[in-house]
Amino acid sequence: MIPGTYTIEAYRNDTLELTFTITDGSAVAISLSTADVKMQIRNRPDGDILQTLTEGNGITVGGASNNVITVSKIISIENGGTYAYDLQATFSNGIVTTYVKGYFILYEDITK
Amino acid sequence: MSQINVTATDNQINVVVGEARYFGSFYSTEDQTNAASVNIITYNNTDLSHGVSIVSNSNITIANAGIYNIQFSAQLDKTDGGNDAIEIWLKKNGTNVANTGTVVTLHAQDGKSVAAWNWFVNAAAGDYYEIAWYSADADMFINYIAAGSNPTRPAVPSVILTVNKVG
Repeated sequence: MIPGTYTIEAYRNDTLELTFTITDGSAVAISLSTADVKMQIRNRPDGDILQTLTEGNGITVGGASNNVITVSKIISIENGGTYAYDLQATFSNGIVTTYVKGYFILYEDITK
Repeated sequence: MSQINVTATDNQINVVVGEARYFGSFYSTEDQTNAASVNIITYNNTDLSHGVSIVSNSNITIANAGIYNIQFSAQLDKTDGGNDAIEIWLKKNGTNVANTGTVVTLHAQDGKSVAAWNWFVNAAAGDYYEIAWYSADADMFINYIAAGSNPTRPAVPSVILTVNKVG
C-alpha cells in the first residue's frame, strides 16, 4: 500500500503532540494491539536518523479499539530544517504497514 | 494498489486504509399516513451509517460525491375496500427526478403489498434525496407492524432504506 501523506510541523525542544486514528474505508477501527509502532525522522529518506520514536518512547497506542496512535515527545533534533519521516507498524504476524509519510518541518526555538 | 488517505484537523490525523466505502441503513417504526397530496417517507432509526445520513427525518443526505444505489422497501396497506393505486418516486434536493416513478395497486381492504426497488444516482457532496408517494385513496398508508408471537417474528418496519456507494 502507498502510505498517506501528511506534513508535520514542529518546534525544536517543544513537545510534539499528534494523534493518528487508523480505520478502514468503512470507518471500522484497525487494531494495532499486536503491532509495534515506530516513527523515524531522517534528514532525507535514506539519510541519517535524527530521532526515533517508539512505543514507550514518545508513542502510545490506545483508544477503545486500539487504533489510536498518540505521539507526545520533545523534538530534540539539533538543527531546524525540512526532513522526512514515516510512521510504521510491524504486526506480530510479520506484516509491516507504513501508514503515513511526509515532510517533517522543524523550526528552531529561541528561548532556552 | 490500495491507497491510504489522510485527513487532518489540527493535530488529529485520520488515516483511512483502502477506498472509502460509504453506506447507510435506516428504517421507520411508525405508520406513515396519507396526509397530503404528496407525502415524503420518513425514517426514525439508523441501523448503520458512514457518509450517508438522514436529516430532518426524511432527507437522505450524501456527504461525499459518487454513484450511489438507493434501495428501499415499503409495507403498503390500506383500510378501505376496492382497488387503489399508490405512486412512488424520487426527489433530489427538493425537486422531482424525471422517470423515477412506479405505480403499485392494492386490492381489497387490508390488501397489503410491498414496494421495493432501487435507483442509481450521481450525487454531489451535500445532495439530498427524498422518496415521495401519492395516492388518491385517503386510506392508503405505509404500515408498521409490531413484532409477532407464536411464533416469534420481528417487527415489520413501515420502510427499510439502504444506500451504498457503488462508484
